[in-house]
Amino acid sequence: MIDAAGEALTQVLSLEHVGWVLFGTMVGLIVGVIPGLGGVTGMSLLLPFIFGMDAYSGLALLMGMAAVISTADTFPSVLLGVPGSAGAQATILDGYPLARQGQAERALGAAFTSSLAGGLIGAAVLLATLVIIRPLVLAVGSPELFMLSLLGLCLVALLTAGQPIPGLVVGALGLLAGAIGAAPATAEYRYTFDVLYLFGGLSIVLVALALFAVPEMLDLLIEDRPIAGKVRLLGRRLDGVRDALRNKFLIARSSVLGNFTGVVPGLGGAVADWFAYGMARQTVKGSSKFGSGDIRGVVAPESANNAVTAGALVPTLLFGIPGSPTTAVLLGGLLLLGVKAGPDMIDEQLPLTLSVVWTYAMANCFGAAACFLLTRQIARITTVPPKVLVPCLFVVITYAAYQSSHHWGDIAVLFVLGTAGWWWKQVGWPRAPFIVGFVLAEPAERYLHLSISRYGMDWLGRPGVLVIGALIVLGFVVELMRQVRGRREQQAQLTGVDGQ
Amino acid sequence: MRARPTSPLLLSLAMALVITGCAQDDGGGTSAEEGGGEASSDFYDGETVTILVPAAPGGGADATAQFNSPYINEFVPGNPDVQVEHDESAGGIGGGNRYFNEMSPDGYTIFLSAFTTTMPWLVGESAVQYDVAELTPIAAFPYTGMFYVHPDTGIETVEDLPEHAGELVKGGVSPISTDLMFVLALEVLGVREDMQEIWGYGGTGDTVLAFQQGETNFDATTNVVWNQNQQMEEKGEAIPLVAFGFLQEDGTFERDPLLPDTPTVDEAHEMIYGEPPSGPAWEAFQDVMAVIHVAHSMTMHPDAPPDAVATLRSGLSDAIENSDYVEGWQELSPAEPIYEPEALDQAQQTVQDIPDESVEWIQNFVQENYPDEFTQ
Amino acid sequence: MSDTAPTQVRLWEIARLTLNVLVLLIGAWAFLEALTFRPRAAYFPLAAAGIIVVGTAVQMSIDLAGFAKGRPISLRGIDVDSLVREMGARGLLLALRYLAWFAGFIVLLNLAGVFVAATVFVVAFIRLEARWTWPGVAVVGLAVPIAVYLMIGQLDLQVPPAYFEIGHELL
Repeated sequence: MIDAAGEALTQVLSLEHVGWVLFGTMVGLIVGVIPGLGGVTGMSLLLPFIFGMDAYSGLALLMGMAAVISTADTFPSVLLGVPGSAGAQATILDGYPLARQGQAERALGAAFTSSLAGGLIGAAVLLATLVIIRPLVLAVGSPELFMLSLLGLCLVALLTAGQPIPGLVVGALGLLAGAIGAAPATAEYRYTFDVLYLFGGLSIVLVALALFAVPEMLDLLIEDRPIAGKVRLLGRRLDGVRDALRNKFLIARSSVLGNFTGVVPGLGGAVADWFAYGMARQTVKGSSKFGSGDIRGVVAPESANNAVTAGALVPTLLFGIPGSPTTAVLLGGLLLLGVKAGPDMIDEQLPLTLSVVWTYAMANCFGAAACFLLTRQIARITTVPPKVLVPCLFVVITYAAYQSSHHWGDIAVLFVLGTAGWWWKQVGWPRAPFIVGFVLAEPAERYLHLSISRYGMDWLGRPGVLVIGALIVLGFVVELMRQVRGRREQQAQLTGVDGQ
Repeated sequence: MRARPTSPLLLSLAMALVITGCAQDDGGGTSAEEGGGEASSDFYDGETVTILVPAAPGGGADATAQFNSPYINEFVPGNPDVQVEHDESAGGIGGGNRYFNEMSPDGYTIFLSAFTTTMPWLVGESAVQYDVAELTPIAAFPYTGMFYVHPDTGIETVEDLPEHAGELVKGGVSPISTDLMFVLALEVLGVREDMQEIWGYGGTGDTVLAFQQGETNFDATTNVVWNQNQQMEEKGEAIPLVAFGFLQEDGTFERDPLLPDTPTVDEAHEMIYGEPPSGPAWEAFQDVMAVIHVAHSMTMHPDAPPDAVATLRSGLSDAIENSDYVEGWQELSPAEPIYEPEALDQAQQTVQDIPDESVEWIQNFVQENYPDEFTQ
Repeated sequence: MSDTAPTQVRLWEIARLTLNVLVLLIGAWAFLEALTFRPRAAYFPLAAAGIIVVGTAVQMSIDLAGFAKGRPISLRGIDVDSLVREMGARGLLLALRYLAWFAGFIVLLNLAGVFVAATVFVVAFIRLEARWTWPGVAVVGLAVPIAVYLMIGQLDLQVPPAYFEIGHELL
């Protein structure tokens, strides 16, 4: 392990590697700052470019990007009250009020400090998890892997979607979309309409860009938020740093919570910040100011949403089952780099895995440093009017989409699926389950088939299967309770802050 | 394919051809020397070459592609970057179809023509939309097969096999894939029907993993994959049981030099039953092994520019003749790669010359025993 | 959303019901299609399509029951709020307008290639939609083709074929 860590470190410290991390960090900062665009979009924009790179450099680029999204997405949350990406919504609740009270700099300072701490704690816990989980990995067979896929899909559909039934339906639509083309375990082509373009199936990059980038871009144009002059950066940044340091235990708790939220397949991404916010609200003293500008309401979600990405890497790298929509696209990237997610990642490929950990920590430092030193410049990106930004972005996205299979069908799918994604978004249907379902379709089908032909129906009785099954049931129960409570609140005609 | 001669057509390994360099072109050659391409350093200058592998990462086909990547980069004129792409859909057939019909034949994608695509084509699977005979080979890599088993099964040598066959669980891609040689060998040894076979893995890399995870306790794989996973034997997690070795002109097999103490299939049969194997399954096995020894190759699309083929061939022969290429390869598989154009044509001819009777027998055999896995 | 005019909310509720019907049809079609696959390739899509059909049917009956009684259908998903939804019909019309812009870019790309399409699209958009003055537009008009050249040329991207591939030989 230590040898491998050393080998990974030498790889990581090479000039080329640092260069790729820096480039990824830059892309992550820009994508994160643009409201609505987050890790999924950033990842899909970068995938076409890693073609031909070696695994270390490719992962440096992707992880550099993914690590800083949740640092950068704080800017629009605090300054504009609009989430920079799905994981930055809880930050708005206290961050935006602080900015309006003339303490934007303080909120940002606290956010960057906790982000950095969260990222570093995340990397450390990731490393520890890899060591601890090692003996477990070979005990996991096809039945457990199938159940993990199911768990990921159900949790993302139930808990992160806001609407459980549409969540499940969209997840199933993702499974169907993933089934287009050749079947995994047998020689059969499905849903191809005899169109040659569909024989190879749809590409994850294309699906992700269409569902996550196009609808957000349309909404940016339609909303066309008026930029009230320059964004005003008031308050003192060092106060924020001090605030963060004063709450070091809150940071530690939130980071670890975020990390473990990320480890559960499907949960990483959009809920960790809410979990941390909720926990902070319930556990700290004098929480009555939460929601109207308590700095701890910024510190907690910001440390959590940086740690969550590190956690989501665990199921992604070790089992090939994505922890979040972003890591679902990352899996596509691993495939392009010829790396097979699985037990090999902590065996022969251990140096590569450790390089991911190092890269993640490094990118967090770069990201935080950039945010501190270039606060004004980066904040200015949020003032670029959408009507200038979006056409340029659409060109980039179209050209990037064409790289997925070098076929005009790519651009057609981008447009059609993008329009559908916008429709879903407006009527309250989630989109994240589609991506996760799309990526899980192939492994889930294969593992289910293997489980049945290996164990008959006995696979249902395996202890691992029972444990994961219980978790899935728990997910349903939690969501049901939330629905019932929501119904009751609705009946009581309560209107107020968002019920999450 | 042509009718079977009186005695089974047993090729002297194309390896021998490589050594003697004799060209016995019987007119069926389809490949590059007629295209008249010229090696040029411009063609791949600053470009990226993709090797499309019709199997999951971690298996034999992946190993061949990974092994060749650095040599292509170093020795092919223009020093192209090399990228390995995997497509194990439809058990590999999806990758073959995509290469043949969807990808642009621009010369920048090499198809690793592996058993996952060659075998389904050979037995006439209906989902196959490619023609292996039309591919232009650049270099072929002799493979063979082997069986290993987990010590917990109580099996120590191949003689214990029939007694314990009922407890054995084996994973595979599909009986018309790489596994064709394995099911035939198990049929010859008379244990196939007693074993539990699980189809649907993504490649030989995945079945090794399933073995390590305890999902299976018997694994059939190629010698290349075994040589990459030898540590299993050192750790006491696997016992090599049968190593198929290499087919000789007289129809017997020579032991795999890397597994000198492990019996071949015919030796195993003698150890178990006291007599050498015979019958249609044995003949089909021999014919399939003749193909296995020469069919695994890096190939180019039939419509690819002749310059691409010529450039790649010149780069590879340069690598083979002027570097540690052969020694490196022999750590994976003891037989030398086939790269001279005449030898490649001969190898391709061997694949096409598999006797019709054998193919028909195999088709009936698969149809009868694995109706869900094969549509003709 | 309490201050939103009822007619505007209805628009999105109808959009949601329409989406429900559409997805139900897709699910049903996928289910029937899956029946023709060989057994081993069939059961997984059958299950997925089954979930879609049952799920949309249940959700639709809940939505419809509410709709008939005049209760608002909850459109709130993971998004904290949607300004677009509150804009009602205007939001939909704007969406169509911008989608038309996007489609125009794609058609142009098919006709005239990557340079012309990107430049014309961006210039026209910021002139007509963002109402920039001509000097600014001119700067952008110069910057876009250079950016396209750098992005595609330096990163070695593939370009889609077009009828008139103006400038493609530079790449």
